[in-house]
Amino acid sequence: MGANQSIPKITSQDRAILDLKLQRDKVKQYQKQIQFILNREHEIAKEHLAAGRKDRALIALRRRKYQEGLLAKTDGQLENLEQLVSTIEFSLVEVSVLHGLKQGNDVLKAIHAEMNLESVEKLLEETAEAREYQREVGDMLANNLSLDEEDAVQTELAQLQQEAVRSPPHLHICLS
Amino acid sequence: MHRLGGVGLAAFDRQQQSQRSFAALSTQLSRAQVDTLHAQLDTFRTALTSFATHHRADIRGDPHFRHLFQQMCAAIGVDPLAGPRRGGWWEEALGLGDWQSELGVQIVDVCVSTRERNGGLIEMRELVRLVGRLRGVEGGAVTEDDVVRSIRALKPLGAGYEVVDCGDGRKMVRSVVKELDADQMVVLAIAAKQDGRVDEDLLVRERGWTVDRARAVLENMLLRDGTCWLDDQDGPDGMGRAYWVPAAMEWPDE
Amino acid sequence: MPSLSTYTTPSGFLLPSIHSAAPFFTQQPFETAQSSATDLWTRLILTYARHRRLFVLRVEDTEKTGGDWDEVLRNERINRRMKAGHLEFVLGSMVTKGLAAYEPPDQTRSVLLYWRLPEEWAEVLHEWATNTGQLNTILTFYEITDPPIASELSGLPLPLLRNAIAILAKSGRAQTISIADGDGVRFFARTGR
Repeated sequence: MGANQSIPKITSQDRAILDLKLQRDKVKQYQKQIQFILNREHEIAKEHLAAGRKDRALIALRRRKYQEGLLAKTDGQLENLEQLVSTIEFSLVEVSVLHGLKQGNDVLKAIHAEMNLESVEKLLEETAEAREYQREVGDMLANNLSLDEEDAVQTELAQLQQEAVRSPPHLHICLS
Repeated sequence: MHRLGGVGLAAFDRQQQSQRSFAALSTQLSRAQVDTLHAQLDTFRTALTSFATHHRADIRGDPHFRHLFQQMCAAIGVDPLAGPRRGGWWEEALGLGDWQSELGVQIVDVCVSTRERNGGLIEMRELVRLVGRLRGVEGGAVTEDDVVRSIRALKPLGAGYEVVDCGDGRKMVRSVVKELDADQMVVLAIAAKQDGRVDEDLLVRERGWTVDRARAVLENMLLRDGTCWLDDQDGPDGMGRAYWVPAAMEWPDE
Repeated sequence: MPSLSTYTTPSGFLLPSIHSAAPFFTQQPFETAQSSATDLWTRLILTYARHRRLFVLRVEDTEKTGGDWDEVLRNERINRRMKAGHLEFVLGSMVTKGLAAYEPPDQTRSVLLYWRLPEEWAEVLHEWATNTGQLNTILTFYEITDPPIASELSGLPLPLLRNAIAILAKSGRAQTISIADGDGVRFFARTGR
């Protein structure tokens, strides 16, 4: 058919570019989801604090700090991917593409394991199972945050406590 | 849904009309000449009817075609949308003149346009209002009397146009062949007082009818004649049945 | 007894006066009245969808409150709502007239609304690609439906996007590229002439 004469053939370079963009899209989507959960955890920390459960507020904040770290890592990865996409010299890029993709995937896996709304909500539950989960998470986090990050978390907690005194939170979290 | 005032009737060419005004002619003609004219018009009428029958689909479907055809008909006082005519309307057509037949066609247009929602039954006030809107400012005022007279002229055409008296001064115009029985007239009268809404209980209370009788009339109007709409979420429990007569409701312009 | 009147909803939509008539919310048994009402519902649904940029209408939207369609499917002022069976019927009519499509196919309770026809979406899509300087560039579907700057295509459901791309492909103005992880598209300027 005549109409196809001027349409270029699809090359393996085209496919590689598409692949990069698809990975970039995935990172963007995860970022959006993480941001949503970060906001949620901030509210949960406030709620715990208001009910006098300081230790659990701390867990929520630590969790949040950990995920913020993941987010920062993916930001860097995203920058790399976008740079790769925009500066195409294919012979050089071929190797970097594979390397970048592998790194990106590792980070994504970590995020995915960490992140679903259910486990976030679990922090609010009272069941024995939930308590056990919370203890595990607490331990894991304690081992994964740097000293600086731990400091930042303590500061944040103090800040929240001050805010709570001034204006108690109205958020009511419903458990299903 | 048929839209009013759009592709329906266009204004008639008044110059051409006056040229063919038979009312004007008849005062100048002698008896013999009137007879000849009758005969000629008779032939014309036959040909026109035959034309209408063969081109019915075109007339209904093509606004331009319909406009030309209606101009022809208005000149000799024929309702182009009705079926084969009964005898005796020639005298009426000659006597009434073009203005009356033009009004007749407009009345038919309004009734046909609103038939889908009211089942062929429209309140007189609403009909006068819509015809007035169709005619526009240049058309000149149209009174209820004008409409009543026009409808009388349409009667011999056999399309069922008739003025129906509901009692307490309210009139309806029926434009389908289906006759209204006495019970339906009662329902119309009551609906007219209730902004269009009727139910079985209302009829039982106001007229002392049995539930069966009330139900039968309402169901016939709903399912057989299409002269009312159903509301099945009526009442405090939201599960009652009420019947709404569009002919008795006020439909704002949109 | 309230007479019929139009009403402006909180979202700024002007409801027609028929929406304030109680029987409008009942499926009519008499055929001409039913087709008349169905035409009105169809027009109302498409106009509202265009106003709010809603793409999907489900029969279940009649059963719950707090959704996107409350302003149209309910009228609290006269205490009436559209019933599931009735909406299913109206949706069926819209699908038959090519004004909506069952999505997913092989069911009759959820549709994509064509307040723009697929052909129109195709043109909007091509125009966007042209105006944003993205012709001859490989784009993911996500880039089109979730662009960093909101566009006419933001939130466009994938089936509609695929449809639009297929239409453009027929005139040589789009090319689909598929790999294991997903699909992409490349747009071209009008060929020939």
